[in-house]
Amino acid sequence: MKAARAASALIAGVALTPLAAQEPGSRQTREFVQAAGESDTFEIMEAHTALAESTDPQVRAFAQQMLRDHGQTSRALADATARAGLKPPPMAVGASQAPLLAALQSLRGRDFDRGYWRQQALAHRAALTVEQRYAAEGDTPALRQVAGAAVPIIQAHLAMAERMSASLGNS
Amino acid sequence: MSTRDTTRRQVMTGATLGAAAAMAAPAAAQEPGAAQARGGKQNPRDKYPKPPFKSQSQPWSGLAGRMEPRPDHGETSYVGSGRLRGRKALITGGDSGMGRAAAIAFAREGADVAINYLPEEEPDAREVIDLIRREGRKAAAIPGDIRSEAFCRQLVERAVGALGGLDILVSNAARQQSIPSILDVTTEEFDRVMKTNIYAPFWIIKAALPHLEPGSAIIGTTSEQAYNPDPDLYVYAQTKAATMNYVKSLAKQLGPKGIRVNGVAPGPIWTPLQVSGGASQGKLVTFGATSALGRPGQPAELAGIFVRLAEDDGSYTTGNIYGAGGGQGQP
Repeated sequence: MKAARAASALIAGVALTPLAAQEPGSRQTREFVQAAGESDTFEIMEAHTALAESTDPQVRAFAQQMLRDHGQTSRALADATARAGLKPPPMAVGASQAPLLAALQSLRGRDFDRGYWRQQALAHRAALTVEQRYAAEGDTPALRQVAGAAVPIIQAHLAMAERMSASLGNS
Repeated sequence: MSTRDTTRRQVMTGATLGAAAAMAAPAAAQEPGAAQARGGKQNPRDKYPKPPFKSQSQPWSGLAGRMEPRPDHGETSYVGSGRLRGRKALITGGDSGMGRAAAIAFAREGADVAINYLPEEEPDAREVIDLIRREGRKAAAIPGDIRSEAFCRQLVERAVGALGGLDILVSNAARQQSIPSILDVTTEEFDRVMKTNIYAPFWIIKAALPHLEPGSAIIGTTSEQAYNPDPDLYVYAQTKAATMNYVKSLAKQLGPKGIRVNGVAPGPIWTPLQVSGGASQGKLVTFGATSALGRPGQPAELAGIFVRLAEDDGSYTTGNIYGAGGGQGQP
């Protein structure tokens, strides 16, 4: 009886360790979904902060673009995880980026603009690495496609952020 | 803005973040999920409104009633069980924020409550007084600016007179202003914060002490800022470090008299302090996004801590700081 139950669980594809049962997808894929989701949330939160704080037209235009573009990339990511039967991406700022947002929240004026461009350059460089790697090596086709589509968007953001950051004397 | 509970998240998937990005003021439509029966469990991430919030600003010291979304102080949710029956409490800054949450909870736990607040905070204070009286408890409204030593002494005397004694003192009122550069901190501003946050507790505790019998409790509101200060809160944060410190010093001094002294260390909490100069607009719209729970705390989420530190069941707790930091700060 016990053996039969165990066998039917195996047939149904239910893994026997509870942790694995809660977390579909490979470790590589789960880590990608988390990193990409957190990166989108970070960009959206920084953009809201920038729109509330900055009067600089270029900062504001960029922040509006971040809301549009990362709204789009996060929707694409969420749709792909749903199609692949994975947990949806987190709608949370990651622990490693939370201190960046906290620092930005305390700045004003030109210091704010300078800090925003510097953080945007850093964050997009990190995000680009994540998306490029998964686009090249990811094991889930739907998500590889999402990562591949995000790469040129993030490259454009990165170029703009690095140009603005350098023009304001950030190293 | 978005629901993340496991059942609904399957359905909503992509709609959530896109909506967050597109909506200018999604938080305005949210109401705190307050009117829940006690017990059971909720995902703490989804229990209350999340950023982004609407940009908003009020003159110091702000009114809770004009905040969007309105903070939850436990008005409809806090259920008492006689934990402070017959106790008599004075709470500074009891009109809004954590002081208000403490006032409501104390009354529902059976205590008589006096609240102090600034005269311009009368609209918030009226609501608190009504809530206390609705519990059948005595309520005393004592408006006034605690930057005056003479007023602090009067405050204690009036509270003792109105309640017929005093055995819980919550020193909670504070001034906080976000100023990114020390070069822009005037001596007047520095003095105002020091008077409100450091001198006033000194004067009030000193005046209250002769009335406090063994079994009484003193509670100071400190902050995550005491341990991990933001650069723009240079003035405020050091007063919270001082509060954390006086709690520990007075606990040793007053332990022999049977009086307990403890502190509460909140993380980012949605209170009028934040919309009246305590936070920049940039910080406000994403307030709490930096915490591990992804949202600011609500005053109601600290009510139980104040009750715990005041009640007789907590009789071995003194010189301690209890936190509600949302994953940041370290009391």
